[in-house]
Amino acid sequence: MKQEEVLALVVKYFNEQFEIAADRIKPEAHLFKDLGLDSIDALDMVGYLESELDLEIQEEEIKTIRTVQDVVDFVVRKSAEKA
Amino acid sequence: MTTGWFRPLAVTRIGPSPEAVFAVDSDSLFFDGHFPGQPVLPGIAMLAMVRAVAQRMSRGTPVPTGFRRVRFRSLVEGAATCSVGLGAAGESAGLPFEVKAGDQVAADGLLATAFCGAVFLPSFDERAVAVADPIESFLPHRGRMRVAQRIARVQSGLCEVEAEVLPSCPLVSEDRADSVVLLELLAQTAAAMTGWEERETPGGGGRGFLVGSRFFTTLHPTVPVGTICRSIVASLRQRDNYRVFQGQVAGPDGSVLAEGELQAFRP
Repeated sequence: MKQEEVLALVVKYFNEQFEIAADRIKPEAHLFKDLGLDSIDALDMVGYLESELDLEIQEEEIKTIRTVQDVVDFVVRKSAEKA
Repeated sequence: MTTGWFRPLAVTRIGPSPEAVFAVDSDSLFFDGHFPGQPVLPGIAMLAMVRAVAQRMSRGTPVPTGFRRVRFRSLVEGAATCSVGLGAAGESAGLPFEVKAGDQVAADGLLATAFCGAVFLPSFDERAVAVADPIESFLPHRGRMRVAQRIARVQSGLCEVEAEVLPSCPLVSEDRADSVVLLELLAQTAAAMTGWEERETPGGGGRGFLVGSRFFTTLHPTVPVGTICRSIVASLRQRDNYRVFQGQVAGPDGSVLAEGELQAFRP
């Protein structure tokens, strides 16, 4: 998947799931500090990415994810590994 | 106000952001079977308090019947004094609310002023089975707090439960139940499915707690006693001990009474 495709998916998810305005979901936005997510939301996000993109995500792989761009980079890398 | 469940103590703030305080006594009917030996205030108790505040401040205008982005943030175990604050409507179509038990935030979210969400349930297939065992075999709920009455059919990830709104149901007043009881029915349908999965699949299922609801919509603010309901819940996704369900409650004529999305966590 391309960066733009993944970013669009992530923006759609945050917008629909948490009702965060699209203009707030910037690549540099911090998931917890800027977008107000909590640990349950993070679990939801990982579950969503796994089910929507048919990915298997290990817990240690997501510990360094902090920003929207981190999510995008991670999904692009995992999708490439799977292909 | 429904007697025996919670008591209004005081309105502590009026105006666009009202606040009221409620007492949940140790002999509250909410603790009759929720859960035996471990009294936990159910989430619907807090949502009913939120509606009660909105009702009191509405001056006769219709009170929103739905909720969005509800998060149950901490367990309220046993008797408690709950303060319920409503905020002014912001950008999103809803009134923000916060419920505190003592100093701790127990729940927050939005009282929805517009239709919120849509549920698309999968169909049962050849794996579906009828269940003869009593529903107590699969659910921890007992007494007045057990609203689900029978598993009609179930398969992994999908469950249908039958229930009748009884006079002993939570939040019944003047022969009508507050429709948040349908959220409890959805939660118990999800719990029954999980209990069944636990029995059928080694390592599957397990007891969990409702941690949130992305949306919950009801058609009417109350449901008449005697209404026969069918509740169908499907597992939407799962990650570790966290699971998301969507479900729908239909009345005897098949019309949708309520629908919503639930988030549960298994400690």
